[in-house]
Amino acid sequence: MRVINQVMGIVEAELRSLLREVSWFIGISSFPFLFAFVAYALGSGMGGRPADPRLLFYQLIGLAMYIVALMMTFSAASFVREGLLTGRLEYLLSSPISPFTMIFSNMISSSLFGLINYIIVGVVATIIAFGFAGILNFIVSLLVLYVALIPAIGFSLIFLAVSIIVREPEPIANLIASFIAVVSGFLYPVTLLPYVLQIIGRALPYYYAVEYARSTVQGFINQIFTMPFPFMFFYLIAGYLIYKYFERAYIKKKGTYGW
Amino acid sequence: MAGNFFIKGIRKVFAEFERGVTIYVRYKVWLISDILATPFWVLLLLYGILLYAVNYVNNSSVITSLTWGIFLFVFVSNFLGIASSLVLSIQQGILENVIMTNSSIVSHLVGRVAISLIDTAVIGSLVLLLNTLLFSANIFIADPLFFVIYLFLAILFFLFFAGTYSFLIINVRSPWVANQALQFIIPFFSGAIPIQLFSKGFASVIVYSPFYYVIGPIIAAATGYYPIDRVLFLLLDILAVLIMGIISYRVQKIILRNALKKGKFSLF
Amino acid sequence: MLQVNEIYKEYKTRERKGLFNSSYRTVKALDGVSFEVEKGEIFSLVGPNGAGKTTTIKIIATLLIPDKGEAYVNGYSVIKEPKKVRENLGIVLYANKGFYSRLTGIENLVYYGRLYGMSKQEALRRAKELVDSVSLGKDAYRTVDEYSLGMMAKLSIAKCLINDAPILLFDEPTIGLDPISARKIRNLIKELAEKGKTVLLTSHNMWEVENLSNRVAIINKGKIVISGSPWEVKNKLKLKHMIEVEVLNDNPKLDLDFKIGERGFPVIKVISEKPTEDLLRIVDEIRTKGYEIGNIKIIEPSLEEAFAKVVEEK
Ligand SMILES: Nc1ncnc2c1ncn2[C@@H]1O[C@H](COP(=O)(O)OP(=O)(O)O)[C@@H](O)[C@H]1O
Ligand SMILES: [Mg+2]
Repeated sequence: MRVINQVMGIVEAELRSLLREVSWFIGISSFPFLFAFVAYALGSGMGGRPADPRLLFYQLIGLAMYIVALMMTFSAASFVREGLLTGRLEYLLSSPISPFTMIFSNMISSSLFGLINYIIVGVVATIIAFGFAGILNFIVSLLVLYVALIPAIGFSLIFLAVSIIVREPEPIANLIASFIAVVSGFLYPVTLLPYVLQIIGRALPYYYAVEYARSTVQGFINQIFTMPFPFMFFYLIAGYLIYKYFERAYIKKKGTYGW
Repeated sequence: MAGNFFIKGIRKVFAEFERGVTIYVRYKVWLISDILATPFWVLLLLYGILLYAVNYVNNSSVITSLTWGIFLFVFVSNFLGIASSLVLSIQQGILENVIMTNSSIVSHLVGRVAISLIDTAVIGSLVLLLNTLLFSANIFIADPLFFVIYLFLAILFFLFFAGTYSFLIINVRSPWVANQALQFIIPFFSGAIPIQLFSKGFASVIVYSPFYYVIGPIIAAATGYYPIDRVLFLLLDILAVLIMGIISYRVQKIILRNALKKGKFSLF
Repeated sequence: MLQVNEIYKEYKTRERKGLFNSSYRTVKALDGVSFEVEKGEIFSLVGPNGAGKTTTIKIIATLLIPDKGEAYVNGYSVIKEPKKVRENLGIVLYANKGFYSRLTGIENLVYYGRLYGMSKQEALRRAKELVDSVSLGKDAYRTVDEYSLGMMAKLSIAKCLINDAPILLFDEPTIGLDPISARKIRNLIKELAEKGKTVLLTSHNMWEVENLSNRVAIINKGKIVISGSPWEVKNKLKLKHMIEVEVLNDNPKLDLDFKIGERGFPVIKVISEKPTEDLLRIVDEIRTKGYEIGNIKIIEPSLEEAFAKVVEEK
C-alpha cells in the first residue's frame, strides 16, 4: 500500500509540472501534424492530385507512437538526470523510496503524457482515414501499443545506467532517437529500407509496437503478437540485469548517484 | 573619427563571430552526435516523403531535387535557431551587458549566425554527400556563381528575418515550439522542393510566398532549372532582402524602446 | 560625477488570477529619487527587497528610461546622450550571470573587451591584468559553467572594469557570497575608489555598507528616506548608545538599576542619547560610593538599527 501511495505522489507531482508547461505540450503534439501534413501536401503536389488519406493516417499515428516510444525510453533517464542537476534526487533518495519505485512512477507519468498526446493525434488520424467507425479499433490499439512497448523498458533501464555514468547523455539520446526513428517503421514500411537496416529494425521491440498497434487500428487484429515478439522480452530482462550491474558497480561504490 | 568607428564595428563583429565559433566547438559531443545522426534523419525525411511516391525511389532527378530540399531544410532550421539565441541571451543577462558596450543587437546575433553557418556547412554537405553515395543524387551545381550569390543573399535575408522574428517571440516561454512549426512551414512555402515536381495549381500558390524568392533561386542555380530568368530572380531576391532588412530595423527599434520604457523586452 | 534628479518610475504588471484572468496594476518603483555622488566616493543605496535599487541603477545605466526626472553621468544626460553615458560606465548588473557558460572567464572578458572596441591583443592584455587584480587566478581559464558564486562575482567585477570607466555601478555585488568572499569583494571596491573611481553600490546588508561607504542613502518604497555619511545617518535618527558599567561588588548600594552580568558582578545598563555625559555621571556616582569599577562598554548604534528603524517606521 505504501508503495502505491508513493507512486501516486510522484506521478501526480510529475504530471502537474508537465501539464503546467502547456506550450511544451502543444509543441510535442503539433509535431506529428506538422510533419505528416507537410509530407502529405508534398505527396499530393508531386502526384498532381490529393494523395491517399490512409498514408496521412499512417504517418500521423506513426509519429504519435514515436513520441510515446521516446518517452518510454528516455523519461526515466531524464528524470534522474534532472534530479541530479537540481539536487532534488538526493531528497528523494533520502526518503524511504526505492529507486525503482521512483523510476517506475516517473515512467507511468510520462507514459500518461505520451498517452494523452497519442489519443489526440490518433483520434484525428483515425477519423481522417476510417471515419468514426475506426475509433473502436483505435481504443484497442492503445492497449496493444502499451503492451508491445513493455520490452522497451529494458532500453529505458540501460539508458538510465548510461546517463548516470556519462556526463552528457543528451547527445547520445539524440543519436539513439534518430536511429530508432529510421529503422522502426514509424513513417514508412521498413521494407523500403536497405536490407541491413530492415534486419536491425526487426530485432528491436519498437518495430513490433508500431506494426501491431497500427494494424489494430486498420482492423487487422488477427495478425498481431506473432512469432518474434515474445523474444523481445529478452530486452526487458537484459536491461534489468545491466542496470543492476551498473548500480552495483558504479553507483553503490561511489555511495551516490552522480558523476 | 569615422574610420575609428568603422574599425570598432569590425572588431565587434569579429568578436561575436569568434565567440560563436568557440562555443560551437566546445559542444564537441553534440557535434559528433549530430554528424552521426544526420544519415538517419536524411533517410527518415527522404523515405517519409517517398512513401507518397514510391516509384520515384530510383529516379535520380527527383532524388536530387529532394536532396536540395533537405539541404535547405537544414539551412532554414539552423537559421531559425538564431531567434532562440536572443531569448537565451536575455535570460542569461548577457544582452544588457552587450547594450552597455554600445553594440547593436544585429551584430550580437552574428555570433549565432556563425554557428548556423558552420553547422549548415557541416551537416548540409554531409546531406549532399550521403545522398550522392546512397541514392546517386546528382549534386553537381549547375550555376555555381549564382548559387553562391543567392546563398549569400539568403544568409542576409535570414539574419534579418531571425532578428525580427526573435523579437516577436521574445515573450514566448518555449520559443522552440514556434521554431519547430516554422522550420516545416518555411521550406514548404519556399519551393525548397522544386516547383517543377509539382502540379501547376500547387506551384502557382508557392510563387506568392516571399520565401520563394530567397530559397527558390538557390535550388534553381543548383539544379539549373530556372522557372524565372536568373537576373530577374536576383533582383527579386535583393528586393526581398532589402524589405526584410527594413522591417527588421523598425521592429528592433520598437522593441528596444519598449524594453527601455517597461523594463522588459516585449512587443506589446 | 553622478547626479540623479527627482526620478520617477512606474511599472505596469499583470496580475494573474487562476489560469485565464488577469488584470493590470501599476507598481510605483521610484517616487522622486535624488542624490549625487562625488568623484572617488563610494555611495551606497541600501534598502529592503523591492525598494527600487535595481531600478535606480538601470536608469543610470540607460537600460531603463525614467517616467520623469533626469540623471547625469559625468555631465551626460542618460536620456539624451545614452551612448556617451555608457562610455563612462562600468557595471555589475547581476553578480551571478551575464557570461557565456561554455567560454572561460578570460574568454568572456576578452569578448566584452572587444565589444568595447579594443583589439584582440589589447583586450587579452587587459583581461589578464584584471584577472590578477580580482585574484581569480587560474580559475580564469576554466569554463564559467564550473564557477562558484564567488568566482562569478569576481569575474563580474573584472568585466565591469574592462573598459576602465570612471564611474562604476554595482548592484548587490556580494549577494549570496560567503563572508570571506564578500570581504574580498569589498576590499576590491575600496581599492577602486582609492584609485579615483566613483562607485555607486546597492546592498541590503547594512554592515557591509557601513564599513565601505563614504555616504549612504536608505531607500524604501521608491523614496530616499535619509542620507549622509553613516555617522550622520545614525545621528540624524537619534539612535541611542548603550552604556554598560560593571561594579566589582556583590551587593552595591546604588541609586542606579543593575543586573548581574556574565562574570557574576552587577552591571549597570543605560540607554543613552548623550553617552559621554551619562557615563561620567555613572562613574562619578560609583566612585563617590567607594566601589571599584570593572569593565566599561559603550555600544555604538549600528547602521543596521538605523535601517530597521527607518524601514519599520514607514
Ligand atoms: N520589469 C518589471 N516589471 C514590473 N515590475 C517591476 C519590474 N522590475 C521591478 N519591478 C518592481 O519594481 C519594484 C522595485 O524593484 P527593484 O528596483 O528591482 O528593487 P530592488 O532592486 O531594490 O530589490 C519592485 O516592487 C518590483 O517588483
Ligand atoms: Mg535588486
